[in-house]
Amino acid sequence: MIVVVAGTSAGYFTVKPVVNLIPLWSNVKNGPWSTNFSMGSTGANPYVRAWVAENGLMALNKSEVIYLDAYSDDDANPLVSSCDYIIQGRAPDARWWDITVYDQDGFLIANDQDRYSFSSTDITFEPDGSFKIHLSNTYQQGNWLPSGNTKTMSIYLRLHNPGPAYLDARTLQTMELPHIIKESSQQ
Amino acid sequence: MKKRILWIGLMILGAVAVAFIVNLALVIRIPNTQMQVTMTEKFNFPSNQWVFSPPSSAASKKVIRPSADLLYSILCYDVSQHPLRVTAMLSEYSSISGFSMNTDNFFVIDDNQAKSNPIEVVLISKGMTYQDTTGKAYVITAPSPQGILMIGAVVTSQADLPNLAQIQKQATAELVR
Repeated sequence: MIVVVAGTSAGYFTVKPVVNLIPLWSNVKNGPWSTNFSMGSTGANPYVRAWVAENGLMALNKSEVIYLDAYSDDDANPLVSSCDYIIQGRAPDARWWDITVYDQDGFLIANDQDRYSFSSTDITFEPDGSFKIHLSNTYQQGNWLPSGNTKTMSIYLRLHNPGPAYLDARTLQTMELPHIIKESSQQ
Repeated sequence: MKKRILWIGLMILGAVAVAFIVNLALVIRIPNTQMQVTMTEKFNFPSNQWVFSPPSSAASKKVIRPSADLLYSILCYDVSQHPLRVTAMLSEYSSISGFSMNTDNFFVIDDNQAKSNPIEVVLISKGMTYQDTTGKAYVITAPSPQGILMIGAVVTSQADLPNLAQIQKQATAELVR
């Protein structure tokens, strides 16, 4: 009897930690960015499906969209709205892409400009073809993504119809992805 | 003493086995539960009808991590009794996709892949048959009788928004009885 009670309790109380942990094992990582190729796929295991249900319902499979998320900067420090960041890099090889910032609950961050993202069609590129986004809660010239007044943040890079190199875990792990650099802390 | 250690070891092993089974059983239920909650409580849309959503903003709390750059139309399908025929105009950078109750994205067709525009999809449930006489329709078997269809269109500029909304509102859905 004690075995059943102990096992049931352990099984119940470890659901959330396990759901958040197991998909990480199969994640593809590159600097602060990571993705799981099983997202939205009919080949996903029950733990990835549960993670998708709680963290990214209605995710399309990787041939249509790759979702790369970042919870930290290049130095592995958590993204917080009290700091200013630069997201910089070259346009990814995708038919269309966007970079969106979310609050700690995964929702868009309220701001007077109603600016939540920059995409391949509305971002202003540098003369050399690269791009630079200022993630800050104070006005910045150029591509300014307001970070509002939230605790932690996450950044999503969505690649619609990504190029073949993004569909291979080995190349995705080593290719150049946008950098997330902490510029200053306001604290 | 040895017997006691063996007994304790067996109990721990049994508890771990029970924990694993309980954990897996609960985890398997999460996607279905979340989809059910989303469809019946968060969306609460009538079945088999497209519902057009305005662009996502900070006030959008129904689905986690919404895209601010996409216009969505959602349809909560129920093909348990009859096939469902849907049509949709696909603007540039747009797609139509389906999600079963276990959250799987069981099909996605974008504007580059569609064999006609407006695209025509006939959704059927397992065991149903449907003969497409036009040769234009994608006949797709849904893994679960209920689920979600979604049209997502990229908003390339705010100036295009009214036009994109107009295109998306032309999507149709009808049960084939």
